[in-house]
Amino acid sequence: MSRFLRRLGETVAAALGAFLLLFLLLETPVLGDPALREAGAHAGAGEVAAARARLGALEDFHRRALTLRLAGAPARQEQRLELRVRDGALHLAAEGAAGGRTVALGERPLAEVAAALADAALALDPPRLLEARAAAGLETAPADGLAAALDGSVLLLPTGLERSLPWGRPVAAPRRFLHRLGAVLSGDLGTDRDGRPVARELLRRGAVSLAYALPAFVLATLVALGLGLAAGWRGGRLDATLAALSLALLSVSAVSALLVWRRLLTVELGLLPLRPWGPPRLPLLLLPIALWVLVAPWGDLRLYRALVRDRRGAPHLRAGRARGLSERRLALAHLLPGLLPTVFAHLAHLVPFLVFGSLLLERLCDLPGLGEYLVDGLARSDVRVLEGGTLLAATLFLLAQLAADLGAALVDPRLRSPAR
Amino acid sequence: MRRLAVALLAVYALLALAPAGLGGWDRPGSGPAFAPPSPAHWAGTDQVGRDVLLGAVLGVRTALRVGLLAAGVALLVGAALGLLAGWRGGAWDRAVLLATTWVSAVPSLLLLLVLAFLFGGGTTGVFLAVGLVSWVGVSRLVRAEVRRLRAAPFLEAARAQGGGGFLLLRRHVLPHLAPLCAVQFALVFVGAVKAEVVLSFLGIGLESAPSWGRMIADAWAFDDLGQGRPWRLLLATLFMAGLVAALHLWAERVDEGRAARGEGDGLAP
Repeated sequence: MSRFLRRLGETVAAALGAFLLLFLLLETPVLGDPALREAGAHAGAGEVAAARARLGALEDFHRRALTLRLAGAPARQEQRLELRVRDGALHLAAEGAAGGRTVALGERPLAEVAAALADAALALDPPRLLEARAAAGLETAPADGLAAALDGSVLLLPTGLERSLPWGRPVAAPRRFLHRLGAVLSGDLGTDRDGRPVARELLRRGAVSLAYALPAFVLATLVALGLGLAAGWRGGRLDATLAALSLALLSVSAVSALLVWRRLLTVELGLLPLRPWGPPRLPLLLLPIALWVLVAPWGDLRLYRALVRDRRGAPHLRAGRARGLSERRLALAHLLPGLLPTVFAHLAHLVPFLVFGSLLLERLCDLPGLGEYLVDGLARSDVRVLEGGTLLAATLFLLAQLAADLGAALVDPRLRSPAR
Repeated sequence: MRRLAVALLAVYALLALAPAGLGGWDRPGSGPAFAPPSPAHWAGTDQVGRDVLLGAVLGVRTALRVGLLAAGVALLVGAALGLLAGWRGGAWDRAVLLATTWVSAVPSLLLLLVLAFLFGGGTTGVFLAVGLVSWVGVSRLVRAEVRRLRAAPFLEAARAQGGGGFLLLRRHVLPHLAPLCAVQFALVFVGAVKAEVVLSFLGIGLESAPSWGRMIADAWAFDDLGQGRPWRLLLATLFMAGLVAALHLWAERVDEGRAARGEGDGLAP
């Protein structure tokens, strides 16, 4: 029992660590500004600020905190003002020109900054008339909220047009992490780009992935285990053939193998249907199952074969053989049970892909499963989908490892009680 | 078998010397698109008229670069941390173990996707992602081996003769780690070459460099099989399979040699 509790504690700690790792990678600027990624390469400063707010880096976010309007002759190119936000200050200059004026932000109230901006514009050469006004209710808000929302941005202010600057209170990374952790623990993984809750979408699509992945996983495991056992136990020509075959098949890229098998099964042989996802759905699941079983077992087979070869000469098997047990009984009743803990541990590594299917398979077979959702999220730089999906996979992975450990203890009494 | 593997690897190394702009491969549109095999283009041309065979040959260099760099990163990080954890023990050991637990809690393919996405694809993105995912396994194995070696009789003898920490490490530990590291190097190499294909297929691989992954992804995107021109898929797959099989065979032989020697060097498991 205490062993179980300790394993459970380790699992929880590893899950927290995985979440922290993902948070650091995806939501802090360790590997590039996440808001820029979220908003896209061509996004304006306002969109980047909105992305920061969406990611939780800003709270009390206001899209229009400070409204600016450059008065004067209508829309003349040289009349445009350039606003740069950098190092906690707002720099004002004629577009493309050197020099200009800098207005410090800091803790000053927004209303004061608005007045300072108007003064700074008047002091430019030539002087500009800049109307600046803080939004109602935000006059006393500290101006560094502008810096938090806009840091590193450049905005252009044409004559006669109104431009609004966003404002938000920065949230320190540790507090953001705790926020996110609380949300994730309560099952809220945020929303994807289409505004759908990621958690619900993961469940819905997970069902599709599971529908083909579970049978495929079981079948592929049986094939790998059966062939591995046969090859390792019998040896001889069967073993040599399977060893060479599996090495050859393993060397071929899974993508190529899937492409060829898919073509063979659907078009050349006409065995399986190939059409967009829709009712009746059952026949559509056969293709990914078949592809999985054809492509997946070869690596596992080599592992199981090596395991069997390793144990073939074990003393208890020799003793059994000396007492006249049949080879089949020796292999199935005396060799196999000893392999199971290792097999379980290996299978636990594959469990996330039960739900994620194969990322490749879903693309190839046009299935709206979890893998496709993730790949789609990747293409759209959807951080929430990536984070939610990876987190789900990590959780499943850890739970599977826990289950494999417990399963191993069930089949192997030596693991059940600590050494006496 | 080992000789065959080494010979094959040598051929690949030679092919990698082909200059990047060979035969106008970097000038798309110089020939007819999707030309069938002919004396001029033995395996036909691709969608922008580049020679397919030439593309596969030029892909060797990309594959070797991605593989070498990925394996280099994984080995450097993994061996350094594993050595630190195994040799120093204590707090170092616990810190490295914690890091490996965190990284290995995320399934490697997904972590690979996330990292490749964050690094923005490209050669650098692919090899960094693979390297940063694969160091965990290397570090675990190196740590275990170093701990085993630390307790070995010959190391005790060397220590009794007054050997200092660095000398012990250099003369007695590192040579024993070499075969293990060689095997891991080959395996990460294979993983990187395979990962490049998967990432290219999912749309976050290399963009411009000639690569087998790109060729396979294009073969799918342009429905090569449906249009009755399997050459591109076939060549890219064969070139890659040869490299992967050679590396596998070589790693297997090194591993077997290690196991065989393991009985004679006083290191009871």
